[in-house]
Amino acid sequence: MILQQSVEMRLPSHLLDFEPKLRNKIEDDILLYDILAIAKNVVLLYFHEPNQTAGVPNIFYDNNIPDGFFTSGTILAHASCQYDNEQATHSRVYVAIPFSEKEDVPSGARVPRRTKLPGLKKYAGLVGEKLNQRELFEKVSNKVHDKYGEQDIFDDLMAVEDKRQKVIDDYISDRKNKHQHTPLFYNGLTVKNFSIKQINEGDKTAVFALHWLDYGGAEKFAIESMKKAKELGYKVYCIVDKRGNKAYEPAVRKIVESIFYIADSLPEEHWTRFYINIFPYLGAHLLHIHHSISAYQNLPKIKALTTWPRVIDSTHIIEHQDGGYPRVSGVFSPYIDFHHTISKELNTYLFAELGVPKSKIKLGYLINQEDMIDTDNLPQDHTRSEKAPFNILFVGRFVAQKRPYLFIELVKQLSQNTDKEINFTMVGSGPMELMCKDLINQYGLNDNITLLSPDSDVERLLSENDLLVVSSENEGLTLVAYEAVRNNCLALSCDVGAQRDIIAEDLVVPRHPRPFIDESVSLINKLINDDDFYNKCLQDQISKYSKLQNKDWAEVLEDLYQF
Amino acid sequence: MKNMYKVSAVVVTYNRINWLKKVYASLLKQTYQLHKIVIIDNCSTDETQNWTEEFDDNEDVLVYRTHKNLGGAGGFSKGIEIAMSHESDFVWIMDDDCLARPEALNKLIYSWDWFRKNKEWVPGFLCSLVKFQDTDDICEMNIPQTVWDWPRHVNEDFPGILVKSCSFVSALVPAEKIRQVGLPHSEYFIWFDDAEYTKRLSKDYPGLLVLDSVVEHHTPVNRGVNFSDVNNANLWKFKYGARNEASYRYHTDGIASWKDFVVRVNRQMHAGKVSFENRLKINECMLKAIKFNPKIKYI
Repeated sequence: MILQQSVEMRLPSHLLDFEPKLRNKIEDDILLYDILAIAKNVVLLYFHEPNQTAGVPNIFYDNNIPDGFFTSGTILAHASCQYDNEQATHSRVYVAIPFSEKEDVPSGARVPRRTKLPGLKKYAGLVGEKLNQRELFEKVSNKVHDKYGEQDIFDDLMAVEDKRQKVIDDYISDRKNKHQHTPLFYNGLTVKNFSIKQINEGDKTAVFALHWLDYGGAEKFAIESMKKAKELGYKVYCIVDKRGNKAYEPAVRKIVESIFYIADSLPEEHWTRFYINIFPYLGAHLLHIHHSISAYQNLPKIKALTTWPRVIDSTHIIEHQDGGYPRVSGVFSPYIDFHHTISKELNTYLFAELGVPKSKIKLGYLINQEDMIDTDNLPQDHTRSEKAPFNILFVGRFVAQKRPYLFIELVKQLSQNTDKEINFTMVGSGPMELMCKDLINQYGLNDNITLLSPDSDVERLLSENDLLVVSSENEGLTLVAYEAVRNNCLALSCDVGAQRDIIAEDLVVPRHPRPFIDESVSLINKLINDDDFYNKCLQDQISKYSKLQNKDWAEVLEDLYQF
Repeated sequence: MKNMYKVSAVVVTYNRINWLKKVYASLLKQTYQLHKIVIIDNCSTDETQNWTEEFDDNEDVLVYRTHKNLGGAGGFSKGIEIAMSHESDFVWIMDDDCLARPEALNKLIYSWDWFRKNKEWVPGFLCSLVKFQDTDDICEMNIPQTVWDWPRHVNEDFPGILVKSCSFVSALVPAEKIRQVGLPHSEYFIWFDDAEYTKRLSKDYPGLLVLDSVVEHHTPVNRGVNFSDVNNANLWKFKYGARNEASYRYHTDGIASWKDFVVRVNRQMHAGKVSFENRLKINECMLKAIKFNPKIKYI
């Protein structure tokens, strides 16, 4: 319980715009330290940290403040709070919390590592990507270097890509050996030792644990699920356990009571204490995990000390290398009451590979109410005049996962292997943009491909195009395919993730680059020349979509939230 | 005695929906109740997917649809893996045209118990007597290979003889053994995966053929495997068979055993007047087998 609090803030002129943000943060942190119950008096000191990844929160106990404490930045604000905490072990603590006006990760933080592959050296974006998939790219770059020496990577893009996919094959086949796929042991033993006062007595309260609030499908869905909980009468609190761009913060603020950025405001050694305390403190009866490792890690303690919260998690994509969050979810499954999945593939992964009982797995596709369509009213055929050009679209971030360069390779092969006029459009941006532009130049495809920025009207583009190509090396169930169906555009995709759930059976092509190109070229030629084949695929796609509509997430979560 | 052990059945199917339904029915009729039924749909293109969707909410039937045809070997490997992740004590492996008579599993379990109580060893695996369709004839392609002292334990209480390998048409494997020896080689794709795996299982102690546990194998003709039958239509299958067995012999039994196999295969092909071209292809596979040595995958 907060007995007293005082906040003082003095921002330099160039930071004045950030005052409301900082004020919100201070309010959340005051509540966070009340939940933590570490001291009766807490002084929160916010110092200016231009490089967000450099500053870390620190707690100093009982006036033991080290020399040189503020040398890294200027103090912007402080808050003094007095709590009524019987459990507090210290009389006074000082907490140094970094505050950065820049939310995205500064570019300086990504220092490219040395690599032997000249193509990677040349394209900074690709090097950034390499950091994301360090091991994979290193393995490939070393192998390719042995063969190509100092030649340019583009000399044989397909060879590089082929090797990458073979490394991924090894990852998939070794995944179970290298990463734990056995659920943890749980015997239901509990310790009842809590007497913390609840602030929300009588109210239904839910805690949502998120990875971060940066742009992304999983985050977008997390927000939708929070909205749903609020509609059902819950008071919603949100825990975020990674630093990063807080793009969705304004949207989340409208729904939740508080956002706890634990990576920003709480030293990691106290996270467990925070997780254990938050449920009795808030009287929360629901925990919904959206890709939050800290929440998973603390589940055994939460379940042992606070038996009441119903734990639900949502998972989206199986990572080739280690299974990603679905694997983590399966390992912690004994402590999770229900798993919400977004595709059949995830259901199968959980019950088949991790032995999760089917009754705990709930499938709810990510189709929103406003996306529901009457599939009977969609045109079941698609007639083009013979002279009209065929339009092909690529939509996605320019990152290795989406493989925009493979789409460009496909454009090159198609241009050589067809006498029909085809227009290609690529929508997106990202670290590989420069590399893709160079590749387009090198292949002489400037006249064939139109590049558009990611803020283009994708729905309109889909309705104007005849085919969407998804060349990703991994996906959950891509949302752009949903949009394609709604706009009567046919989609062709690599056989990854649960793409088969929505893509017409005949238009699912292999992930490996050479078979991908070969089969795509012949299928696209068939689509152009054979209207019956095109219409058959379109009908297949529509019928798959209507099946998905019957299992939308909203209904599933409504059931799970009400108990 | 019911449910003393958790036994999960693994059925691998490919485009045989009618048989699969019959196999499923025969599993439900078992007098020894099954823990789980694992169905591996090897990317069938018939009605299998629609039918198996009925089991989406069924806790006891686990359907795994592969993204491409993994062959029998890949399917069994995956199926055993799934059964093992559901706390099974035994995995009962069978084809999609194998109908087990109601007492089949019960008899296998009885023999396991008898052996465990009365002998100091436990068998590497147990298998049933395989009849050709619903006749009294034995199925030629599923005759297990016995060990030299095969009648050692036979008595009026125990109708089991010792064998060193069997086919995946009603093979009961203890979970402990699977953890010990790993999974079947999925790289084999088809043929000899069962023989290799059961030989691996029987390294410590032979397996048991339980004569009063009977299953029916509904193959179109009752004929064993012989390389004299190679023709253009079945060449692909024989190629896998030749490569897999040659690889096993070369890497497990040594070069002399590999050489014996090569000679035997060539003699059979000669006797069957197999075309020169096909003989060449089979020999090519046996040569390739020297480099083909898949790693064992453990659970």
